[in-house]
Amino acid sequence: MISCKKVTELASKALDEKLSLGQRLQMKLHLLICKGCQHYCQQVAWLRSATRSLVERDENCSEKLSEEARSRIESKMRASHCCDEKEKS
Amino acid sequence: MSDPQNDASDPTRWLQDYGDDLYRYALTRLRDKPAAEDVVQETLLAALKAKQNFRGDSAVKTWLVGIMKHKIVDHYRKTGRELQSESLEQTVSTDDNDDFKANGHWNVSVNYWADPDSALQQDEFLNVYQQCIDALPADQAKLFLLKETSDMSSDELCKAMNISTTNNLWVILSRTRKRLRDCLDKRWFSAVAET
Repeated sequence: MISCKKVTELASKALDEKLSLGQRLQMKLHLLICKGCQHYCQQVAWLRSATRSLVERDENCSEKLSEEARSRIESKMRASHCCDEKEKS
Repeated sequence: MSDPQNDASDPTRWLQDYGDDLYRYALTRLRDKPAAEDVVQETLLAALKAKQNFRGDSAVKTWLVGIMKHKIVDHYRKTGRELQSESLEQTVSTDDNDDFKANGHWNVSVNYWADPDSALQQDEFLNVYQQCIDALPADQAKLFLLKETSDMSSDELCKAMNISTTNNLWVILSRTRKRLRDCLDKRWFSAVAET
């Protein structure tokens, strides 16, 4: 029987790639008899939803490019654009 | 509203129309204002060069975000070289965890969380979660967010964050997630259960 500590590692890895058949069976067997690990696995998988909600909130925030950055980028773009035009002609 | 299909030919509008959206996208992932500004600039300059590749089968914004994803990875790759990779990989060798007994079984009780999805709608919960992420060592937080918000493969992640083996990557991510789970348990779910 694998340890709870090992289960916490596999629970995380399972979020990122497919576990081997052996690992999946070991997890299943362990989870049948361990309430703590059942909770842990659900909670760690749920972190992904929490992260997505956080990222969505951040993307909808009111942060804006500063005027300074905006004009800097604008002039860089203009410089790059006009060089391209020159190369073409 | 301008027609998103037609204004690719007019790069002078990109900054005005999508600058803030791109900035927020980058800021969310980099958590660093000057770096986010740089990435917006690099994205728009790259887009300018690649303008003829834009086929109009996607919206301009989607196209620009696609370019930005690469620029964000580039940024991590550049800064990754300056990272103290030892500090990330030290996580692997140090084992300061009292949560497990010597035989690897739980030394603490892992409690059930009631209806966690309802927390996602609450601003206070997201603030707590943000604080939990901020409380991580900076490199761990970066790695975690990069993993969760980009489509980078594990090999690319290791390269960008200067981690020697994918096995170490799994261990570091597992420890990071455990810390986040523990933090939420302590600061939100147990606290809610007690009231």
